[in-house]
Amino acid sequence: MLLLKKTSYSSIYLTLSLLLVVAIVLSAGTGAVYLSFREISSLIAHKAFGNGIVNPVHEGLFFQIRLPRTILCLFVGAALSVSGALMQSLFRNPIVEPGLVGTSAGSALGAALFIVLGSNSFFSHLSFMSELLMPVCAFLGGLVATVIVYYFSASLNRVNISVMILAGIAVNAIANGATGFLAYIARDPQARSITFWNLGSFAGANWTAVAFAGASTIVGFFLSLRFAKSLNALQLGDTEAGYLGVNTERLKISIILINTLLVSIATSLVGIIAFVGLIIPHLLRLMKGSDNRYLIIGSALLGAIVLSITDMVCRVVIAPAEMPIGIITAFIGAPVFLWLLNRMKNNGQKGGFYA
Amino acid sequence: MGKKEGSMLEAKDLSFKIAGKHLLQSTSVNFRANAFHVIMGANGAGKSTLLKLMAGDIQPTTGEVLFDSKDLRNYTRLQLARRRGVLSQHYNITFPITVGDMVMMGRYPYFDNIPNQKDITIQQQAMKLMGVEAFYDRDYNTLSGGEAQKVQMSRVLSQVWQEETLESKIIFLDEPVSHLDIKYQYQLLQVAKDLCQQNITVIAILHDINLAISFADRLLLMKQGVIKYDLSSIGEISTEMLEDVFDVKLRLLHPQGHKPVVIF
Repeated sequence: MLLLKKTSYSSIYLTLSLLLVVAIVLSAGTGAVYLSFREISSLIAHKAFGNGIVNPVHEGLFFQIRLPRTILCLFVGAALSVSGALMQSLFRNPIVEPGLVGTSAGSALGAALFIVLGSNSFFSHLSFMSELLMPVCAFLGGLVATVIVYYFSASLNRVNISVMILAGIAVNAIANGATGFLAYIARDPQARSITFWNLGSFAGANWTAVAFAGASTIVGFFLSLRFAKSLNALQLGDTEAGYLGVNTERLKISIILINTLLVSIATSLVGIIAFVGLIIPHLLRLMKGSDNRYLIIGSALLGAIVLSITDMVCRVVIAPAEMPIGIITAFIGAPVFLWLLNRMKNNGQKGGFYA
Repeated sequence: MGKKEGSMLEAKDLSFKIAGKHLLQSTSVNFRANAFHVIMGANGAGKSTLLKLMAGDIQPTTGEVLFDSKDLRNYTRLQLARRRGVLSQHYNITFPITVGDMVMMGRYPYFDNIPNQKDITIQQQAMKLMGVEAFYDRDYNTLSGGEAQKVQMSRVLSQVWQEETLESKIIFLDEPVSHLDIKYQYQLLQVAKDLCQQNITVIAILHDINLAISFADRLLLMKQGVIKYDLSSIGEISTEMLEDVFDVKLRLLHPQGHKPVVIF
């Protein structure tokens, strides 16, 4: 059952790109102060060419708060969704996402370690680098967690998928426990900052964060595209992919590294946002099959759209307060996850998951 | 291509041991270029192990495999993928994929990102040869076992498809007809047999003795991890050999003007 079997890939990309523009305008315009599309265009024209007269408060709001937040949403949404597509193809299982294999929790622990220990150790002398150190710590945390999971599941030079998922549960528990402990011993503002990691928020968005997220997402996206064909071949099985010329072990390690890059940088900036990586690739598969090239490009676009709209909803539902975005993604994502699980149970081994 | 007349693939003192058990005893065997080889034997006789070793999927405990007089380990994965195709017994596909995309995977060793016109032509010819061109847009997972097997054969065919140069190639078939009805069993094996005319060597594992007798140029009978009988012509086959290898009572008939027939 493929909903858009006859639609060409390019028209799907075009439609998603148009929706992306709509999402950007909606997300950048909505909030405590509403900015219309016309006002946004005149603000941009003023900034770029200096022509026209604009409200300086709106200008500051738009360029210092709204725009970086919206763009950060786009990059993070794309990163998490592409990462989900990669993990699902790697595991040949539709219910896998980066949160499940320890990457997110490990990254959060890395970031929490930096928050608590960073300020009263020699790191404080490097405070000018703190913007850089936080993502680096998150990357290392995510990498350590993912590598531990990988180490446990790699036996006889092959990756055992069920062991990997079980090891992921254990590593998640350790990382979450350690993060919780750090929150407990931390001074109050630090603890609040750590708690925020577990639910995710875009409230802290600024242009530095956008630069980090942009760099890691763009690099990760193009690296992923290079491996799309090999990931397709991997769907036949390790041995068969090998017969088609794919170095499967190197492919797996590369995919894990790309996944860590995408997820850890995003997590260090906005916290843990669960289930996005699960749902987005799944929707794309329902539309038009599982070619990984399509899934990677489509996930980047659709993930950006969905996360920026979700963040916009978070800003308005309980205004003037803000809902942590992780709550909304969990409320939508967890039921979808259960539905998927049920489908997998019913379909069993034969006939394929989506048949 | 090789100087020695006809030696395409050669195993030298090949053995494979796992967890202290010899799945393949020390074996030396020569596969002739452009011949249809059939490997037979009871379950656990080491047929699949031998095939995986010869195809380069697993590394031998001792010995070496020479492909076109060169050690298999000295080929890159891509070089091998362009000269050797393998049709396996089972494929478990989780995600939806169209039959056309599935067959196109056979061309993966030849293009970078986007298939060119030649790949598309070969994909279509390979599908036509197996009679699955009508399934082009179907989801692979909705096919019956037999249809899926024909689609996989198309994929492997497109992988070893001969272009102008007729480079020497090999195709391995691991129980290729297990899900097919009688008509398509003959069709698939005839397609494989025709490949021998295009500088392609065929090595197949089969379970049906009569089918093997009909197509094999050479028959290898395995038992307990060794090649017990190596028959370079079907005429050499005897009741004793078959009873020894399969451990069943059977009779071999020799109808006039027809290949031998086995009845149980």
